[in-house]
Amino acid sequence: MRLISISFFCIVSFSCLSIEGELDWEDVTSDHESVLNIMGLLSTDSLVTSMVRVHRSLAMDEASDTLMRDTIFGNIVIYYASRYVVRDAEVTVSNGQQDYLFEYTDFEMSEDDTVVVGGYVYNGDDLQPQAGEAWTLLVTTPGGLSANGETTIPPVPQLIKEELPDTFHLSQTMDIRWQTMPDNYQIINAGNVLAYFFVYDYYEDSKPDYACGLWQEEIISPDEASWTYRREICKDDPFLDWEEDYLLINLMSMDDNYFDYFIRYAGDPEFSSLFLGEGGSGRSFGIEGGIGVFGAIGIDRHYMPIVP
Amino acid sequence: MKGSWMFAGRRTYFDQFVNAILWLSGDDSGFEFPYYFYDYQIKVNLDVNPDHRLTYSRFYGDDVLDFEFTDQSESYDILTDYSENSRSTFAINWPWGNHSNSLTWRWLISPQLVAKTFVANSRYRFHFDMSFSETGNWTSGNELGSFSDAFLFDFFDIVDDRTIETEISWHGLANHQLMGGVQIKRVNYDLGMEFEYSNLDTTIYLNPLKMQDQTQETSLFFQDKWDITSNLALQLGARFMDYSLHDTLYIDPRFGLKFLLRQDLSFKLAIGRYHQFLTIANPEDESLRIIDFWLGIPAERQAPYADHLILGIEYLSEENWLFRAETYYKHFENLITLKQGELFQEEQDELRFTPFNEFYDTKGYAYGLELLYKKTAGRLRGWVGYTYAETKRHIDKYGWYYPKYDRTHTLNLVGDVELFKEGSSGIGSYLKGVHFSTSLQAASGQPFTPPIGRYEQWNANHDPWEPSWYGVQSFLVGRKNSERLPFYFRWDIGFKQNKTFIGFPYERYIQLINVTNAVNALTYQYRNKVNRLTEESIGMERAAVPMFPFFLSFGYRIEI
Repeated sequence: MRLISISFFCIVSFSCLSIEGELDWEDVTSDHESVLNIMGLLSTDSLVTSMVRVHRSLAMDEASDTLMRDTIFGNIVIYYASRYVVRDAEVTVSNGQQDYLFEYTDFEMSEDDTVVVGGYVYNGDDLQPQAGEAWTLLVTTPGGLSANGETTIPPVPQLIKEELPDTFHLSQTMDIRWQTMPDNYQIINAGNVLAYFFVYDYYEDSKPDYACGLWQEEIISPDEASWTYRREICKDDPFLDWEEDYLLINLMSMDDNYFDYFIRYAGDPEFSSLFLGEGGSGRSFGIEGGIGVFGAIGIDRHYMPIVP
Repeated sequence: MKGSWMFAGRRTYFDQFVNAILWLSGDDSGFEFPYYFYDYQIKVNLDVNPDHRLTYSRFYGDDVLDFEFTDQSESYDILTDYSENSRSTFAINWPWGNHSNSLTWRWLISPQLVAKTFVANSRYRFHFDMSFSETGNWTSGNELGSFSDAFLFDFFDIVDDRTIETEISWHGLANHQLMGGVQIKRVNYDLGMEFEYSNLDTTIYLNPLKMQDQTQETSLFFQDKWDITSNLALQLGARFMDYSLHDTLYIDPRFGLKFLLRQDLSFKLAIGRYHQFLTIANPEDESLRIIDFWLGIPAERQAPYADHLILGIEYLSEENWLFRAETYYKHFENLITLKQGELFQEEQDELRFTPFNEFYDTKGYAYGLELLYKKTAGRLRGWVGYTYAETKRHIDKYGWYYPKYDRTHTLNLVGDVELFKEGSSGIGSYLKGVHFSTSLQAASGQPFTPPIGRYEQWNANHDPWEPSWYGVQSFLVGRKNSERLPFYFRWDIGFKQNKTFIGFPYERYIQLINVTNAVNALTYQYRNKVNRLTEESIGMERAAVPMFPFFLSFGYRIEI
């Protein structure tokens, strides 16, 4: 017998040197022609205002904000205004019998006062969409962009409040029931009031986490009739004080456009890149001639004290 | 009885090197370099007698990322008279790699009849194991207590393949070499994800991804290599396959032809169908792929297959250089592409990882031309290869598009020359045995999907008190993979010399990787272009995410 012994041990480089130059940044250009990007929302709820946000898409080499100087109550205010926002559009919402002209207003400023965005709202008090009505939207801009939309107002949701307990016990379950809808999705949310005032900061971890286990959301398919709510298991915090807290329950109905845009396809980006972000072809639901959504919602609410 | 054996192994030692330097420098942070790679292989041949030979081979290799950080803290709040001592640990243990074992028995039944049987097992796995724990004690006035929180996250994919095959070759018929056999391949897939949270009195365990499957392929195959004339040979064969999740008997015919135009010039033709019951289910648009998710073809999906047509011509000169030109067309059917979506979904009150069961029907084709010039003998050796390739896939959603790894033109040049021969005088006597090697690759850039515009994607916050709607910047993208990254170019050079030290041979080498320091883009990264004076966003910029920069390495390879 002949034995051949070959042992091999490889040592990889013990020293290395690399030279990495500066990155060569170049402008990204595109010949994209701007389209309107609309978020139109008709609401049958008295607390949520019907509104239409009119934005436009930008080419890659277009500026996305602009530095503005304004005088408000005698004070000079400097801020950055978004160039996505179209402030001079003509926005008309109609139920086929009457046209409602929406007007632009700045109604949102981000926390650091850097970007002002706005939307179009109706300033009268006779806009009262009713369940089952078909509504249309027409948006035109002086620059020649236009889009139109159509939606059907969903039924008004109804929690069966008489079946709800007077208080919510943190350690117990609670069945929440509502009037079913054969053709519409709904969404139910629960949360507590104290969580608004004592916002938990994960990184600070110093304040008690009032929201823990209470903030929940459930998508309700057509014909679903109830939801069993319980506080999810949560790390106990000896400093939590529930004496003054309330549980809020919010039931919202929606039309198909709203459901498709914000629920069905919200977590399904057409394109996703670690180095760029998310995107796609620009989906539209209830909008023609542009992208975005024209939807409608209705809301019912209830609240009750929380008992530890 | 005769035999031979071989053992080979290697391990990166950069981690040990860094750890030693840290130790010598008195570093007490507890940091240890977290990554290393190792592999080894073993081969044993045993000739039991002239008719029977056993061969055992084994390969085992792993990349391992392993680290642990521990932190201890004490705090006291004088206002609330609250004090706390805690110890937290964060650890990741992530091995990924392959191993395989095989035992082959070759039996010379007669001079014309040879049987070869082998059993083999291979296992691919990655296992990502992350844990975080925090334990401690607290006192508040006269009260005291303790706490303990631990979080574990496991993500693993294990593909275990066991194969047994017998193949019989018969040379008893003039001008025919007949071969046939049977193969049984059983593959176990175990893809899973587990979370566990525990504190002093509660343990929560989630198992949102659990896919365990077993498939079996049973194949019967035969082949006849028929020398019709002295310059014309045919190769006919077929493979019959049963896949345990399907009710279909798959038949893969194979046809080959070799025609010697001259003694040194041959023409080849090959046609065949190839079924495959294994696929990778990674998202198509992922920017970086560290691991592959392997899956067996699900029961409800048809088996993917490819039809190949290859035409080639080959010339082998008397000076030992080879020229080969091949052109091919391949057609792919029943491929599947994972639908990308939200990573986690809530399903019947349970958190579930997006299941790997939603796919786009995909087909594809590839055609191209490959040219190879290769010199295998003499002082100067190497090869030059050029490939022209056109590859496309089709999904209804996108139409035809170039897959991510498509490169239309690829040029490779690899060479090695011995600079000073044995017996050289002067400086050559010191540098005898020094080899200069070079490798150059130039290729078309890979395709990518270009952003063509920006818009704000509307999002809803269904807050129970105050619902709100807001926009988040997103991108409008062009046709899938319709643009290409810049041209790829990399040129490496190196020198090596074989030496001996007290009888032990070793090799010393120096390598310069990417000597031109060409910036080759893996993909693009993007950022807002900002007016430095006003800080307005005035567009977007992009830059390559570079692959290897210029890189110098030198060292020793030792054979013992």
